[in-house]
Amino acid sequence: MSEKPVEGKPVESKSTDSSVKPDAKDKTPSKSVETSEEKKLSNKELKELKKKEKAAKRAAQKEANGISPEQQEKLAEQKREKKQQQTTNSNLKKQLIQTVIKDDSKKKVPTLFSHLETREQRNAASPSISHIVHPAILSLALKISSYKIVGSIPRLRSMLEVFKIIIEGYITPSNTTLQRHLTGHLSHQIEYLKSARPLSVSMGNAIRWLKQEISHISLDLSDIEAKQILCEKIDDFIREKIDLSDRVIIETASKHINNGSTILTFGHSQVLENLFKYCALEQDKHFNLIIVDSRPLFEGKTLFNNLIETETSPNVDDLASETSSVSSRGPKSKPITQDHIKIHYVLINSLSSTILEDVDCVFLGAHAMLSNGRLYSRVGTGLIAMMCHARNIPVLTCCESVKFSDKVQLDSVTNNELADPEDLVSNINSKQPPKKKAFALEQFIKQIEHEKKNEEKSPKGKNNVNNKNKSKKDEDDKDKAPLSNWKDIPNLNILNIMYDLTPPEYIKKVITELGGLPPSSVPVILREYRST
Amino acid sequence: MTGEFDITKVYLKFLEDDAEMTMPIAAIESLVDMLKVKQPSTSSELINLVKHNTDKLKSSISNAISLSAGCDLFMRFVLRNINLYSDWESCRKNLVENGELFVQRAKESRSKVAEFGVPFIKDDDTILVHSYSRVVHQLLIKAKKEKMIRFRVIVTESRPSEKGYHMAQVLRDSDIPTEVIVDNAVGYVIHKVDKILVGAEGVAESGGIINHIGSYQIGCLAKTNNKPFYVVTESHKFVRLFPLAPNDLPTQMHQLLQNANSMSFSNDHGLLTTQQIDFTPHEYITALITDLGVLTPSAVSEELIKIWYD
Repeated sequence: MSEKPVEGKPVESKSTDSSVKPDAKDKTPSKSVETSEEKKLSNKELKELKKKEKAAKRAAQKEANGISPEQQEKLAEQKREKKQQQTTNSNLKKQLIQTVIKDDSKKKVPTLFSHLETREQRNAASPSISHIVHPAILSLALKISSYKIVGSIPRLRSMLEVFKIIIEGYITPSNTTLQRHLTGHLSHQIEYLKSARPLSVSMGNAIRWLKQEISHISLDLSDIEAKQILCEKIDDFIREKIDLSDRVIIETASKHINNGSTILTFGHSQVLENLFKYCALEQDKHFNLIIVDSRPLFEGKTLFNNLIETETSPNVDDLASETSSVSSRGPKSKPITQDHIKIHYVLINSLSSTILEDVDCVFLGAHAMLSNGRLYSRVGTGLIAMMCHARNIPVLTCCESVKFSDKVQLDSVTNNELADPEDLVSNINSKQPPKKKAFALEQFIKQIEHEKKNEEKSPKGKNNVNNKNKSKKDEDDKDKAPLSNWKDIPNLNILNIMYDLTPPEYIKKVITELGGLPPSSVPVILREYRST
Repeated sequence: MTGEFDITKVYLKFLEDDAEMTMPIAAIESLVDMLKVKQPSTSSELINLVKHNTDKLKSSISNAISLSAGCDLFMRFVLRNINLYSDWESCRKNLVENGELFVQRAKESRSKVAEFGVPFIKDDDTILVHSYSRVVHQLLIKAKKEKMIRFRVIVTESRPSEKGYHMAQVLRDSDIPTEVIVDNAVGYVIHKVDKILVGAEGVAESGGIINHIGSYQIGCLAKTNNKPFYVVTESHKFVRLFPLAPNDLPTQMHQLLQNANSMSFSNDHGLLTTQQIDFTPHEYITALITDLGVLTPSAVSEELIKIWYD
């Protein structure tokens, strides 16, 4: 409240002793100032009176400037409208979240997991209308949400590449500096990226690093120089934290793969794929590989495919012999799966004693390594680690230090990612990438359908006929997919969770670029390595 | 000392001259000696020289684990110090001086270990000891002579080296009641044993130990019988190695072991194959008594990271 009135001031100084609260301040001067007839008016009325007085003054001023009262009203209205339009991203997000939460019946998630953000909520919460989102981010978000880019490291790498594009095209607005504005600009992009899938731990770490780097850039540098420095730093980050780290990890881990040994792995991890290739191509090792896979992402198939597609470069001797004998064929390279890696592909539910019979060691990928030594990775990892631990098979995990998190988590319920339950329901044969839906549109269609149904029901009133129709429809549905109408079945929830937690007892060794360590040493790395 | 400098000979001479000297210290001392004799003129020459000699030393000695710990430490030390000095001559001088200082400190570490270890021994204890270890020996002597603690020691025979007899002899010489049991009898005596003390050839990154064969089974028995299993060792025996299983030691070492194992017993009918070392995983170890203090197994990797990444 502004205490502009001139009369107020001297009075206030009189009553300063008695007034402690700001409210009291307002009261005391007004009472003392008012004459006997005005005493009837309450404080509120008095304020309104003052407002009117002010407005009148302003109007008079404006009229003096040459604006009529009608025009003034219009202007005021325009202003109000503008204010409503100028909803910030966060405001918009809040509103959208609230609208979703109201629609509780739609949220079909088991109660234990109801605190997790569903895909719909994420999509709804994204500031997709916002025009500040860079097109590169849009395409990246699409790729991530449709699982074209999966895995912590590929996601991190592509995100940093996109950040480079954004930074290159960035122009600092006037009245601000790059150091101050760029972080905010990036935050908007990240906000949108989050709508595709929640950020991985490695992405979070990288973003934190990048923001710090931005703030460390000296103010004296020109924008072009600053941008160049940032891009170079991002390149260095990718090289140092991903490429070189992976190489060191692979070199360390390859010692555990011997000729003739049997290795088991789960799903797809970029560093493990490179490890198997390295062992076959560069170390010329022959070994068996069991790929365990699971629904709905079938990442094991990716690993499988990539291994088949890598080919040994033909040796010089082979070349010579081949050209001499069969010149028509020419030098032919074999896929490494032909004589270096024998692959068994199984689904996780067939992981039985016969499969585990002669496994020598297990390599697991990682999404994150938590500071209590727990491994946060694709759902199913914990199961495999437990089974292998029970059979005394050493479980190893390869994890770059960007994936280390100082978070502590005791179960996989409190913090996890919900994927679209449709992925589990939809026909297995038609393995289509999960689509990103326009949530608002969907809701609108549902609403209209609902209204139509109500209209149909009320005049007829014959439920039997309806039921018969329904049963016919159901028969048709059976050809499509079981449970395709699961959303209409009350009390049926489908849970598609992305990650789980593996306790440290099951993990023998964590291989990082700092060497192999027991999981109990994760906090040591966080402490010693982060500080430098 | 002109012409060829044979690092292996120097190393063996150091070990011969001083029975109390351990392998890593002898390795470092011989490397320092080598630096004194040879006069490398550039830093890359120095690095190559050290590298060449450590490789030579490692390959010529049969039991190379604790030896390699010493060599790696020295190499690390050289690499870290080489950039600190602008003046080449002072750098070399400093390396030699500091190397000697390091050896000095390493020698003192054994008495430090004994100091940390003595509180673990109480009156009326029965202590099981496996094989011969200088650090364990010194600890027990200190407990007896300086602290006047009365305790009994059971020593395993420790085949195939049979170093247990030597251990029993030196302990009996200092008036500690000692008896020797065969290795198979560990399970028989374990329930009346109060604690187990072993030395170590090397301490792996996980905190597990590489030691004389038989340590692993004693560790297992100790764990199931809830007896504390202490490892007494110096910190310069920490190695950058992480075996996954008791037999998962570097392949190169296996060959060496086989060569070393060619000594045979009289009545083995050519059927006996023997191993000399095994790996005891960290789960079985209660604590490591080192010159850095008493560590839990997981603290070893912390110390190693500190040494290697500071």
